[in-house]
Amino acid sequence: MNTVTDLRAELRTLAEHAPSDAEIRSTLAGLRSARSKRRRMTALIGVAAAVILVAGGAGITGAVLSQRSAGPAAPSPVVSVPDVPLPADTKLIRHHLQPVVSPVTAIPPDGLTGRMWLSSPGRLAVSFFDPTTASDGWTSYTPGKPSASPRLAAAGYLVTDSRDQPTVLLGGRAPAAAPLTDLTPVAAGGHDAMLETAPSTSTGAFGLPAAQRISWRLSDGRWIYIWASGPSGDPVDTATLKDFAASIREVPTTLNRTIGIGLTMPGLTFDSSMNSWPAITYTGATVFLCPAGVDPMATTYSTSSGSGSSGPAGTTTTYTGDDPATTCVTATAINVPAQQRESLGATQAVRVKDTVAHVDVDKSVAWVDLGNGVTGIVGAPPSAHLSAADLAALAASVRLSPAVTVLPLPSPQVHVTAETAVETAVSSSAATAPPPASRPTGTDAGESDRAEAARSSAASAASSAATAGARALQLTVLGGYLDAVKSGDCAAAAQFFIGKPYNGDLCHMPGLRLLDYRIDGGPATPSPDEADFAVTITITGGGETMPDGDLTWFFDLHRQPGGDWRITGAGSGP
Amino acid sequence: MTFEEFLDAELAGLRRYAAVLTGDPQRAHDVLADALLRAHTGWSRIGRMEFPLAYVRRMVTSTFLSERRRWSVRMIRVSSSGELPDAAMPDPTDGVDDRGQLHHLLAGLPSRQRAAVVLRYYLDLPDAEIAAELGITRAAVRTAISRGLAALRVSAAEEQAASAVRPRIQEGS
Repeated sequence: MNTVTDLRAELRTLAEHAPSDAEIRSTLAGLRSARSKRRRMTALIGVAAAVILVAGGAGITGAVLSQRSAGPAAPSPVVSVPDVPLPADTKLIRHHLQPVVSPVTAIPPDGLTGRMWLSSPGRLAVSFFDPTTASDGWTSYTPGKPSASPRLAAAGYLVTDSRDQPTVLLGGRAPAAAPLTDLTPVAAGGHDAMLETAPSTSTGAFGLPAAQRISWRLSDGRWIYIWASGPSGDPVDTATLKDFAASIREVPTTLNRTIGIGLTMPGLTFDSSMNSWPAITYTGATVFLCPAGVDPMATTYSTSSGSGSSGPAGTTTTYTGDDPATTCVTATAINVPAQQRESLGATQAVRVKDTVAHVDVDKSVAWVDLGNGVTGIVGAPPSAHLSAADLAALAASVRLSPAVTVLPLPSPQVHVTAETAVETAVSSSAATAPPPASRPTGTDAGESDRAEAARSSAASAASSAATAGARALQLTVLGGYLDAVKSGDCAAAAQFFIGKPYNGDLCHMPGLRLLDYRIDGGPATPSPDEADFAVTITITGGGETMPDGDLTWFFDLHRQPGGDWRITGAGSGP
Repeated sequence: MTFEEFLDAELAGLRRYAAVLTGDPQRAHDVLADALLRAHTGWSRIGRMEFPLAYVRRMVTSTFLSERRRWSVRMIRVSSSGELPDAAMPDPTDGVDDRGQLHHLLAGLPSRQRAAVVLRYYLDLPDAEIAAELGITRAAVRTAISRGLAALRVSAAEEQAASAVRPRIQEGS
């Protein structure tokens, strides 16, 4: 039998093995730096993401696509932009985006008529997806609507200057280098190729799937990686992947831009971009104009071998440098009902010829109405201290390709509570908006509640764009997952849940049915790249461990290397 | 008080508390860093409190409890590879009968019981403060401590005696 004295002695012994002061301060400094460096970019995306929620809250669905898909014009390599007059004492210069050329030409698999491409220094990705089910490029989903191609839902290729190292999430922590589990020579259309396999949740550059890829070296020395996914995001069979790889020829192809901008700042002339056709979302039409060599879409992690504090066993995850996007001029386009744009928050209206730009000088952002429900949002490096006139001119120079059909994301059932708003206020010294009242949501709440929740999200974006922006992106993923589970579409749910199936995935619990859910306010954020949400789920058929009725279920989301968020785990505790 | 001033004054004690609470230097590092990051986020509010240390310490405790409740921690991290073990883990109480193995018994305590025991026997907090720290009732605190001591094979009689005359131990001592 032990004694209390023994116990006290043991506890004091444990205290002697505390982490060092320097270790804690170093980690804390890294986490604080990682958080602050994202604020600028997150603010921009935050406004756009809040807009998505507003659009989704209006109940617009995939029907929009079918209504507008009657022969849109083909996009062009460069989008025409207006000749915006430069303000007096401007810091801006005129700029002409150049066409982007892929070194290869691919024949898209049957049914995959959608296009999405991304480019940044040293890498280029092109993907093909089924636009009848997709609203988000290769991360396609429409709950309950089967893909026209049951075996193959998305496919694409990635070209990099140097070999691409996939990353993987293990144990719900930060991404780490993914070990290649197999590397086998394969014949694919005469290419001297290798079949690479890695853990199922591995992703490569831009966050593209990397669990199974075929790669080879192009004649110009660059590397190409071919990937293909089924409807649930899982790799397709090797034969299908090889067939697609065999269709790729080393013949240059000029890619079509979906967004254009006619102004920039001196030195910020090297562009990276995201382009999607025919459907766009918040990831579909963005262009960055950066200093030479800056990759605004680069991951902010680096991983190395050895014992680490944040990564899985055997690796160290480090937050590196400042967010490169903060050094760039950024423009993005997103759809939003015109009557709800004002909910984006207080801005200064500045007229530029026939265009009215809404400017927030403090956040160094501005937005304009691009017509057809599309809003153009621009941001400039905060350190540039652009005037309202310059920001307005920058926004007025943005155009979305008229060939692009706009498709909003479905809205999650958001329950914005007073507690959420308080958390938002705490995290932002600029917060001034009063907390919205707690409202019930769920199947009985209807569109008005979703719209109210979306307006609340938009208000949060105005008062604390950084927090609300990240949250809106997270809610889009979480809501998409829960909607899919609720409708019984586990294939769609799998697009959002990349953790191991037994790690709290409601779709992998035999007999369980999700009847309703309510997201209970904002998340805990253990790190800038992690968010834990509490969700009240109403279930049946869960057995003894999950009794029928309401239950709190916690979801752990991680920011992916490509900037998106995914659910990496869930359970009865956060 | 600024956040940096707070760290200068209180970090040493918080480091030791996190180490005792978690029983593992690596986890103590993660738990404390997570809690301090959140504290920094809300420092404009926390810094104006009368006792910011108590609030931040409670954040550390909450982070620890949340971490321990996480499914992946309970079920995944038992193996370094992230895979579930094929065989049941051994009972940590098997063959334990002396102080030298108190460490292993402590590691096997449920998180709330461990936190209650640490708050009582490391920080010497009374039931009311422990209840506030853990967000449970005083009765639940007594139950947690009683069960914790039983699991640790600590004499209940000595606990009763200790309760009658309990010296205060300063945090970080």
